[in-house]
Amino acid sequence: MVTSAMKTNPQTDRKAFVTLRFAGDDLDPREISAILPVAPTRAHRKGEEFVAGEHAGKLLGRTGMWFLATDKLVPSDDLGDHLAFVRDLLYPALGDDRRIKKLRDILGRAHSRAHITCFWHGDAGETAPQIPGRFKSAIEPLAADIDTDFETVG
Amino acid sequence: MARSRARILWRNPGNPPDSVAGALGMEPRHFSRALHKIKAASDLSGADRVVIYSDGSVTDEQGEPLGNLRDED
Repeated sequence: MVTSAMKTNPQTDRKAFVTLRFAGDDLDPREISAILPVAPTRAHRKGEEFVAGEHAGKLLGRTGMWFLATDKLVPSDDLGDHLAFVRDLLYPALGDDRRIKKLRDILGRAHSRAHITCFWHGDAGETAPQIPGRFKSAIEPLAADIDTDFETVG
Repeated sequence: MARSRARILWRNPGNPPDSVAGALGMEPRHFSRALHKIKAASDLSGADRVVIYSDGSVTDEQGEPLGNLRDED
Protein backbone atom coordinates (compact mmCIF):
# COMPACT_ATOMS: atom_id res chain seq x y z
CA MET A 1 0.00 0.00 0.00
CA VAL A 2 1.24 3.43 -0.89
CA THR A 3 0.59 6.26 1.54
CA SER A 4 1.18 9.97 1.39
CA ALA A 5 4.00 9.48 3.87
CA MET A 6 5.93 7.53 1.23
CA LYS A 7 7.55 10.45 -0.51
CA THR A 8 8.67 10.29 -4.09
CA ASN A 9 11.39 12.76 -4.92
CA PRO A 10 11.58 16.20 -3.42
CA GLN A 11 10.07 19.29 -4.99
CA THR A 12 10.84 18.30 -8.58
CA ASP A 13 8.47 15.36 -8.34
CA ARG A 14 5.85 16.71 -5.96
CA LYS A 15 2.68 14.74 -6.58
CA ALA A 16 0.31 17.23 -4.96
CA PHE A 17 0.02 20.98 -4.75
CA VAL A 18 -2.56 23.74 -4.78
CA THR A 19 -2.69 27.00 -6.66
CA LEU A 20 -4.51 30.12 -5.56
CA ARG A 21 -5.08 32.96 -7.94
CA PHE A 22 -6.87 36.25 -8.09
CA ALA A 23 -7.47 37.42 -11.63
CA GLY A 24 -9.25 40.22 -13.43
CA ASP A 25 -8.56 42.94 -15.93
CA ASP A 26 -8.70 45.67 -13.30
CA LEU A 27 -6.77 43.79 -10.64
CA ASP A 28 -3.65 45.36 -9.18
CA PRO A 29 -1.75 42.45 -7.60
CA ARG A 30 -0.01 44.80 -5.18
CA GLU A 31 -3.32 45.13 -3.36
CA ILE A 32 -3.39 41.36 -2.81
CA SER A 33 0.23 41.34 -1.70
CA ALA A 34 -0.61 44.01 0.85
CA ILE A 35 -2.95 41.50 2.51
CA LEU A 36 -1.35 38.08 2.06
CA PRO A 37 2.12 37.72 3.64
CA VAL A 38 3.64 35.48 1.01
CA ALA A 39 5.51 36.22 -2.19
CA PRO A 40 3.37 35.25 -5.18
CA THR A 41 4.72 32.84 -7.76
CA ARG A 42 3.63 35.28 -10.46
CA ALA A 43 2.05 38.70 -10.29
CA HIS A 44 1.36 41.30 -12.96
CA ARG A 45 -1.24 43.75 -14.15
CA LYS A 46 -3.03 43.39 -17.45
CA GLY A 47 -0.69 44.39 -20.28
CA GLU A 48 2.33 44.48 -17.98
CA GLU A 49 5.52 42.78 -19.12
CA PHE A 50 6.90 40.11 -16.81
CA VAL A 51 9.58 37.43 -16.94
CA ALA A 52 7.92 34.01 -17.18
CA GLY A 53 11.18 32.08 -17.06
CA GLU A 54 14.53 31.52 -18.72
CA HIS A 55 13.02 29.77 -21.73
CA ALA A 56 9.75 31.66 -21.98
CA GLY A 57 11.39 35.05 -21.55
CA LYS A 58 9.24 38.15 -21.21
CA LEU A 59 5.49 37.86 -21.68
CA LEU A 60 2.62 40.31 -21.49
CA GLY A 61 0.03 39.90 -18.78
CA ARG A 62 -3.22 38.67 -20.34
CA THR A 63 -5.14 39.95 -17.34
CA GLY A 64 -4.33 41.22 -13.88
CA MET A 65 -2.94 38.31 -11.87
CA TRP A 66 -1.79 37.35 -8.39
CA PHE A 67 -0.83 33.67 -8.55
CA LEU A 68 0.56 31.34 -5.91
CA ALA A 69 1.60 27.68 -6.27
CA THR A 70 2.28 25.81 -3.05
CA ASP A 71 4.70 23.18 -4.37
CA LYS A 72 7.78 25.16 -3.36
CA LEU A 73 6.29 26.18 -0.03
CA VAL A 74 4.81 22.99 1.42
CA PRO A 75 7.18 19.99 1.63
CA SER A 76 4.49 17.35 1.41
CA ASP A 77 2.82 15.06 -1.10
CA ASP A 78 -0.40 15.17 0.89
CA LEU A 79 -2.93 17.46 -0.78
CA GLY A 80 -4.46 18.16 2.62
CA ASP A 81 -1.25 19.86 3.75
CA HIS A 82 -1.34 22.16 0.74
CA LEU A 83 -5.00 23.01 1.30
CA ALA A 84 -4.25 23.72 4.95
CA PHE A 85 -1.49 26.12 3.91
CA VAL A 86 -3.93 28.08 1.75
CA ARG A 87 -6.59 28.05 4.46
CA ASP A 88 -4.09 29.34 7.05
CA LEU A 89 -2.98 32.01 4.62
CA LEU A 90 -6.55 33.23 4.30
CA TYR A 91 -7.39 32.76 7.99
CA PRO A 92 -4.26 33.38 10.10
CA ALA A 93 -6.19 32.47 13.26
CA LEU A 94 -9.44 30.75 14.05
CA GLY A 95 -12.28 33.17 13.42
CA ASP A 96 -10.00 35.87 12.00
CA ASP A 97 -11.67 36.70 8.70
CA ARG A 98 -10.12 40.13 8.20
CA ARG A 99 -8.02 39.01 5.25
CA ILE A 100 -10.98 37.35 3.59
CA LYS A 101 -13.08 40.49 3.97
CA LYS A 102 -10.34 42.68 2.52
CA LEU A 103 -9.81 40.30 -0.37
CA ARG A 104 -13.54 40.20 -1.09
CA ASP A 105 -13.63 43.99 -1.17
CA ILE A 106 -10.75 44.14 -3.65
CA LEU A 107 -12.25 41.47 -5.87
CA GLY A 108 -15.55 43.36 -5.92
CA ARG A 109 -13.93 46.67 -6.75
CA ALA A 110 -11.65 45.19 -9.41
CA HIS A 111 -14.35 42.96 -10.91
CA SER A 112 -12.02 40.04 -10.33
CA ARG A 113 -12.38 36.40 -9.32
CA ALA A 114 -10.64 33.95 -7.02
CA HIS A 115 -9.74 30.47 -8.27
CA ILE A 116 -8.21 27.45 -6.63
CA THR A 117 -6.75 24.47 -8.43
CA CYS A 118 -5.74 21.17 -6.89
CA PHE A 119 -3.14 18.94 -8.52
CA TRP A 120 -2.75 15.36 -7.40
CA HIS A 121 -1.15 12.71 -9.56
CA GLY A 122 -0.85 9.65 -7.38
CA ASP A 123 0.72 6.31 -7.99
CA ALA A 124 -1.19 3.31 -9.27
CA GLY A 125 -3.50 1.92 -6.60
CA GLU A 126 -3.72 5.13 -4.62
CA THR A 127 -7.10 6.68 -3.94
CA ALA A 128 -7.60 10.27 -5.03
CA PRO A 129 -7.98 12.70 -2.14
CA GLN A 130 -11.15 14.56 -1.23
CA ILE A 131 -11.46 18.31 -0.82
CA PRO A 132 -12.53 18.69 2.83
CA GLY A 133 -15.88 20.35 3.40
CA ARG A 134 -14.21 22.59 5.94
CA PHE A 135 -11.94 23.97 3.23
CA LYS A 136 -14.85 24.57 0.88
CA SER A 137 -16.66 26.45 3.62
CA ALA A 138 -13.59 28.51 4.37
CA ILE A 139 -13.29 29.81 0.82
CA GLU A 140 -17.01 30.31 0.30
CA PRO A 141 -16.86 34.06 1.06
CA LEU A 142 -14.49 34.47 -1.89
CA ALA A 143 -16.85 32.62 -4.25
CA ALA A 144 -13.77 30.84 -5.52
CA ASP A 145 -14.16 27.93 -7.88
CA ILE A 146 -12.10 24.78 -7.38
CA ASP A 147 -10.58 23.01 -10.38
CA THR A 148 -9.19 19.53 -9.71
CA ASP A 149 -6.59 17.66 -11.73
CA PHE A 150 -6.54 14.20 -10.15
CA GLU A 151 -4.96 11.21 -11.84
CA THR A 152 -3.11 8.07 -11.01
CA VAL A 153 -0.01 7.24 -12.99
CA GLY A 154 1.84 4.05 -13.67
CA MET B 1 10.05 33.18 -27.67
CA ALA B 2 11.88 31.74 -30.66
CA ARG B 3 9.63 29.04 -31.97
CA SER B 4 10.50 29.12 -35.63
CA ARG B 5 11.69 25.53 -35.85
CA ALA B 6 9.52 24.05 -33.14
CA ARG B 7 6.77 21.67 -34.17
CA ILE B 8 3.39 21.21 -32.58
CA LEU B 9 3.16 18.22 -30.24
CA TRP B 10 -0.33 18.80 -28.88
CA ARG B 11 -3.24 21.14 -29.55
CA ASN B 12 -6.24 19.73 -27.70
CA PRO B 13 -8.12 20.44 -24.49
CA GLY B 14 -7.46 18.43 -21.35
CA ASN B 15 -4.41 16.49 -20.30
CA PRO B 16 -2.01 15.34 -23.06
CA PRO B 17 -0.92 11.68 -23.16
CA ASP B 18 2.44 10.62 -21.72
CA SER B 19 3.85 10.48 -25.26
CA VAL B 20 3.93 14.29 -25.31
CA ALA B 21 5.98 14.34 -22.11
CA GLY B 22 8.24 11.70 -23.64
CA ALA B 23 8.77 13.77 -26.78
CA LEU B 24 9.99 16.60 -24.55
CA GLY B 25 12.18 14.26 -22.50
CA MET B 26 10.18 14.99 -19.38
CA GLU B 27 8.94 12.62 -16.69
CA PRO B 28 5.11 12.47 -17.04
CA ARG B 29 4.27 13.76 -13.56
CA HIS B 30 6.76 16.61 -13.87
CA PHE B 31 5.28 17.47 -17.26
CA SER B 32 1.69 17.39 -15.92
CA ARG B 33 2.62 19.53 -12.97
CA ALA B 34 4.34 22.08 -15.21
CA LEU B 35 1.40 22.26 -17.60
CA HIS B 36 -1.06 22.60 -14.72
CA LYS B 37 0.91 25.55 -13.35
CA ILE B 38 1.20 27.27 -16.71
CA LYS B 39 -2.53 26.99 -17.33
CA ALA B 40 -3.47 28.15 -13.85
CA ALA B 41 -1.04 31.08 -13.98
CA SER B 42 -2.62 32.06 -17.31
CA ASP B 43 -6.13 32.04 -15.82
CA LEU B 44 -7.07 28.95 -17.82
CA SER B 45 -8.82 25.84 -16.56
CA GLY B 46 -7.59 22.32 -17.08
CA ALA B 47 -10.19 21.82 -19.79
CA ASP B 48 -8.98 24.77 -21.86
CA ARG B 49 -7.17 24.02 -25.10
CA VAL B 50 -3.49 24.89 -25.36
CA VAL B 51 -0.80 24.25 -27.95
CA ILE B 52 2.44 22.57 -26.90
CA TYR B 53 5.55 22.84 -29.05
CA SER B 54 8.63 20.66 -29.28
CA ASP B 55 10.76 23.32 -27.59
CA GLY B 56 8.52 23.18 -24.51
CA SER B 57 6.70 26.41 -25.20
CA VAL B 58 2.98 26.62 -24.60
CA THR B 59 0.52 28.99 -26.25
CA ASP B 60 -3.22 29.47 -26.17
CA GLU B 61 -5.37 28.66 -29.19
CA GLN B 62 -4.61 32.04 -30.72
CA GLY B 63 -0.87 31.52 -30.45
CA GLU B 64 -0.37 33.86 -27.52
CA PRO B 65 2.60 32.62 -25.43
CA LEU B 66 1.75 31.35 -21.95
CA GLY B 67 5.08 29.94 -20.79
CA ASN B 68 7.57 27.16 -21.30
CA LEU B 69 7.35 23.74 -19.67
CA ARG B 70 11.13 23.70 -19.21
CA ASP B 71 10.90 26.69 -16.87
CA GLU B 72 8.69 24.86 -14.39
CA ASP B 73 10.85 22.91 -11.93
